[in-house]
Amino acid sequence: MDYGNLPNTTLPDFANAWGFTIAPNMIWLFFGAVALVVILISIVLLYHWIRYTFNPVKTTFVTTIYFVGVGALLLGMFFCLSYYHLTVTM
Amino acid sequence: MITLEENEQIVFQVHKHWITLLAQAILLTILLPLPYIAYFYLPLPQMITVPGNHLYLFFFFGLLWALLLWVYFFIFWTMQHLDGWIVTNKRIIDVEQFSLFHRNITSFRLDRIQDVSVETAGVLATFFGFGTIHVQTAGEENDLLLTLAHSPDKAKEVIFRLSNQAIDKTPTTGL
Repeated sequence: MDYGNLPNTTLPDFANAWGFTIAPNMIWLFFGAVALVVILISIVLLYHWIRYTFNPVKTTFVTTIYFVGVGALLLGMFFCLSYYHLTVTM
Repeated sequence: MITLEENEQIVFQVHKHWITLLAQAILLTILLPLPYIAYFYLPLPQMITVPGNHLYLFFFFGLLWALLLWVYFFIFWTMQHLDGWIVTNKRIIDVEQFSLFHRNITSFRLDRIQDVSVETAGVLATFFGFGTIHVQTAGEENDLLLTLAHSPDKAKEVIFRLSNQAIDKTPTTGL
């Protein structure tokens, strides 16, 4: 089927067509939602580790590794998004 | 929460072998660079146009992917860690962790155990020391089965010894 010479569609084209603009603020909101979900999952995991385990030394070690990893990744995401925001607004 | 009876002590715990965690870690390590491969080998900057420097945005989503894999690994670890047998001086407590919010706990008295068998099949199982432990119990209770168990021979030895001690302590009817 011949569709003719359609222009290359990009994500902002879609956004403009549907009446919204993809702004860094939306990605900040997305980041907030992700952080919230991760915090909720972490609370559930922590509850399991505290309540059901019989090996507190091992659990403490794993808990530390987990939270260091989550913290580092969330911090990395925060800085990436901050830098991205700066490149958009500058 | 598992509550122990009076004078009951935990003697031994049987868990899944660490090789299951290693397999999962290898799989997740293979999946980790997928966004980076996609970014550098697919023409994503041409396909998706975003304002600003998209490299920072790409690293944001790359880290998000890593975060998802990290959290998934620890959910997997939790389920592996909590799934297993707790052998006390009175009974075996079988904890089956199906998901984070679905666990089944069954306990069998040691004097009800009839037989303990261990199956170690394959090169990896022999080399790393994991296998399946099968405990047969008397009566209509379901048998216990733990696959990919760590040190199954040691577990069998301990369960046999404790079972024999429990049978010796059980008072006979004198008939």
